[in-house]
Amino acid sequence: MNIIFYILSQKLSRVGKILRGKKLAPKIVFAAFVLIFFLIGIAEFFGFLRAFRFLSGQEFFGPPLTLFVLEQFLLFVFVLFILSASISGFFIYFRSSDIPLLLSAPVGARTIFSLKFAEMTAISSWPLILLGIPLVLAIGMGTKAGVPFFIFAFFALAAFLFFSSALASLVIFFAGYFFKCVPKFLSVCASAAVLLGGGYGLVQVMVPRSATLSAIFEAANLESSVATTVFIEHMFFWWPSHWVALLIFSASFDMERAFFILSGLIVFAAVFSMLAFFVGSAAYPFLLLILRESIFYARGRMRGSRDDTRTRAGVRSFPKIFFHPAGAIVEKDILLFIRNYQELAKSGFILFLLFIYLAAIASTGDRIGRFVEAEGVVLALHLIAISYFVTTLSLQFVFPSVSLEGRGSWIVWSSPVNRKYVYIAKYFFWSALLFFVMEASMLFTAPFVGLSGFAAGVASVFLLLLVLIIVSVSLAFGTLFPDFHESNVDRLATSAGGLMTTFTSLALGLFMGIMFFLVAGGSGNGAPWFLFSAVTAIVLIASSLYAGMKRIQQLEVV
Amino acid sequence: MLSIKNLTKKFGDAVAVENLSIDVSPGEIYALIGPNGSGKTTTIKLAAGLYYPTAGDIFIENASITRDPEKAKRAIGYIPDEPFFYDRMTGREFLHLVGVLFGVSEADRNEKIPHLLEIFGLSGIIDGFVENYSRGNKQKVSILAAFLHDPKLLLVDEPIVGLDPESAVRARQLFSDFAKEGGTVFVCTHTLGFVEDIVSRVGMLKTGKLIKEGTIEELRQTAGKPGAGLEELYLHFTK
Repeated sequence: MNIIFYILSQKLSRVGKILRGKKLAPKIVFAAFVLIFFLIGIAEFFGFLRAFRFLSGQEFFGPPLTLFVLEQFLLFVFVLFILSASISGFFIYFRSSDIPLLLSAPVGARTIFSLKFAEMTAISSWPLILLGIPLVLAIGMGTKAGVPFFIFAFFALAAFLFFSSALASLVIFFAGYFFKCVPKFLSVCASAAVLLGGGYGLVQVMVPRSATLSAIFEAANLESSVATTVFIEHMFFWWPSHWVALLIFSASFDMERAFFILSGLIVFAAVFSMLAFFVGSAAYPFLLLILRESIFYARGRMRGSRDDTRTRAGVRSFPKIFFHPAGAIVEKDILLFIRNYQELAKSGFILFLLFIYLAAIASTGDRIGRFVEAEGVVLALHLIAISYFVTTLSLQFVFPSVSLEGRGSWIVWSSPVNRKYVYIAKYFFWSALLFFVMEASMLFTAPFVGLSGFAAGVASVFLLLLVLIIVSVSLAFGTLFPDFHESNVDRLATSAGGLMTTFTSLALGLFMGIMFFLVAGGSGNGAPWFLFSAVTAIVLIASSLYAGMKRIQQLEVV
Repeated sequence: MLSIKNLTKKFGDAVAVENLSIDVSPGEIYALIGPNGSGKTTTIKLAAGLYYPTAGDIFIENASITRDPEKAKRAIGYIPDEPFFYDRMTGREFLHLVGVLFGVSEADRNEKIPHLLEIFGLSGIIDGFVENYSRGNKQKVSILAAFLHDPKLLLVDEPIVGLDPESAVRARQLFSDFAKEGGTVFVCTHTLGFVEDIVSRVGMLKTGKLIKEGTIEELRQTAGKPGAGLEELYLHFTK
C-alpha cells in the first residue's frame, strides 16, 4: 500500500514542481486549465441551479422532471466515464511507461493492479468533476437541502466512482483478452459496432420521445397533488446511474428512503469492486505480459526476403497513395497514426461524441418536428457545435503534426524537400479530410431537421471557410511552438501553444457562427456580411500560412 | 565538395562553433575529432541543414546550405549519432520513404534496397517495426538509408556506436570504398581506431574552434611524435 501511495504522490508532485519552478509558461498553462475547469463548472452549476429552482416551484410536474434531468445527466456522466476509463485504462494498465520498472521491481501484481486502478480512476473522473458535482450541488441548493443531503450525495458519488472504475476495469480486461484472441479487423469492427449501438441506444434514452413526455405530463392519478415518478424510474431502471440519481433525488425530501438506497448502493459497489479486484488482479499478470508483447512484423507475419515494394498481388508497400515527397510525408503521418492504437482510440472517442451529437440532433428533429421557422438559429448553433469538433480533431491531428516529426525529423529536414511543400501538403490534406467528415455530418442531419437547399448551401460554404481557418491556425501554432521531444499528443495539445490554438479556434468558430446567422438567419440583406466573413477568413488563412511557412524554414531540432 | 566558411553557431549565449573553416575535396575522408561538447555534432547538423548558422555558411557542391538548401542536400547522405526513427514504420518502409524524399524512382528503390540489405544481413528483420530493432540494427538501417540515393558527400556522426565488431568493420570498408570511388566522407567520432586507418585528414576541435588540422603524418610532425597513433596525438593536442 505504501508503494502505491508513494508512486501516486510522486506523480502528483509534478504539479508542485510546476508551481515551484522558475518557468512561467507551465504555470500559466496550469492556471489556465484550473480556470477553464472552474468556469465551466460554475456555468453549469448556475444553469442547473436555475432549472432546479424553477422545477422546485412546479408542485405537480416538478418531481418527475427533476428526476428526469438527474437521470439523464448522470447517465451521460456514467457513459463518458466508462468510455474514457476504457480507453485511457487500457494504456494505463498495459502500456504505461513505468510498467517495465514496476515489473522488474519486487512489487506484486496486485500492487501494480491497484496502482493502475487508482491512476485510471483519477484520470477518468473528469466527467464526474465537470458535470456530476455541479449537478448535485445545484439540486442540493436548488431544493434548499440540508447538510445530510450533501453527505449522502458525497457517498453516493464515491460509490458511483468505485463501481464505474471496477466495471471499466472488467471491460478493459475482457476487451484485452478478446483483442488478443480475434483478428484485428474483427476487433475494430466489434468495437465500432458496440460504440455505434451503445451511442444510438444512449440517444434513444436521452432524447425525450412523445411517450416520455406523456409519461411526465399525463397525470396517472388526478387525486394526487404530485405527478408520479414511477415511469421515469422504469425508463432508467437498468442503468447503474439510476440508483445514484434516485438516491440524490430522494435525499432532497425523503432521507429514510435515501438511507435505504445508499446502504444498498454502498454494499453493491463494494461487492462489485471486490469482485473486479479479485478477477482483475488474478488475470492481470497473464494479460499484462501477453498485451505488452509488441507486434514485430507490420502485418503480423514475417515476409522473409520479399525484396520490392510490391506484394505478389501487386499492392505497393510504401508510399501507396502519394508519390510526391511532401505527399509521402503526409502518408507517413497517416500510417503512423493508424498504427498508434492509443491515438486511434482517442480519435474514436471524439468521433463517438460527434456521432452522439448528430444522432441527438437527428432524433430531436425527427421527434419534435422540423426547424424550418428557425433554421438560421439552428444552423448557426450547429455550425458552432461543429467548430468544436473541428477544433478537437485539429488539436489531435493538425496542431501536433510538426512536433510529432520529433527527433526523427532529421530524416525529413536533411532531405532535399522544400519544407514549405511539407507544410502545404499537411495543410491541404487535413483541411480536405476534416471538411469531408464535417460536411458529411451536416448533410446527415439536414433531412431530419428539414433544412432548405439555400440554407444548407450557405452553411457548407461557411463550414469550408471554418475548416480552412481552424486548420491553418492549428498548423501555424503547432509550427510556431513545436516540441520535438514530446510524443504524447495530449501533452502537446495542453501546452501553451495548444491552449492558444483551442481558444483561437473556438473564438473563430463562434465568430463564423454569428456571421452565418447574419447571412442566412437575419431578415436583412446578408450579402455584406458574407463578404465580410469571406475577407476575414482569407486574411486569417493567408497570415497563418505565411507565419507557419516562414517558421518551418528555420526550425531546428535541438 | 564540402566547404565550411567562417561558421559560427550560438545557442543563446553559448557558442557551440566559432569561426570554423574547413574544406574537404572529393575522395577524401575527413575526421573531425574532439572532446565532448567541442561542437562536432553541431557542425555536422549544420552541414545537414538541421541547424541554421548564426554566421558563416556551408557549401556543398558549391550550393549554399542556407540559400539553396534543396540543391545542397541532394548531394548529402546523413548518418546521425542517435538514429531516431518513426517507431511504427518497418525498416523497408523507412528506406522507401528516404528514397522518395531524395527523388529515387520506385524501380531504382526496388533494385537497390535488396543489395543494401545484404551488406549488413538485414533481410530477416526489415519488415518488422523499427521500434523493435536493437540500437545497432537501427544504426545499420540509417547507414543504408544514407547510401540509397548515391550521395556525393557522407556526413557521418559517431558511425559505429552500437554496432557489433563485424558490422563495424563492414561499415568502415563501406566508407573507405565510397571515398575510393570519388565520394567525400566527413565523419565525427570518438572511436579514433575506427578512422585511423582510412582517414585522409584530421581536424581537432576544442570548445568550438579548430585547433589543429592535417594528415596524421603532418600532425605527428607538428607534435614531434613520429610513429604516434591518433589517440596519442589527440591527447597531445587537446590537453
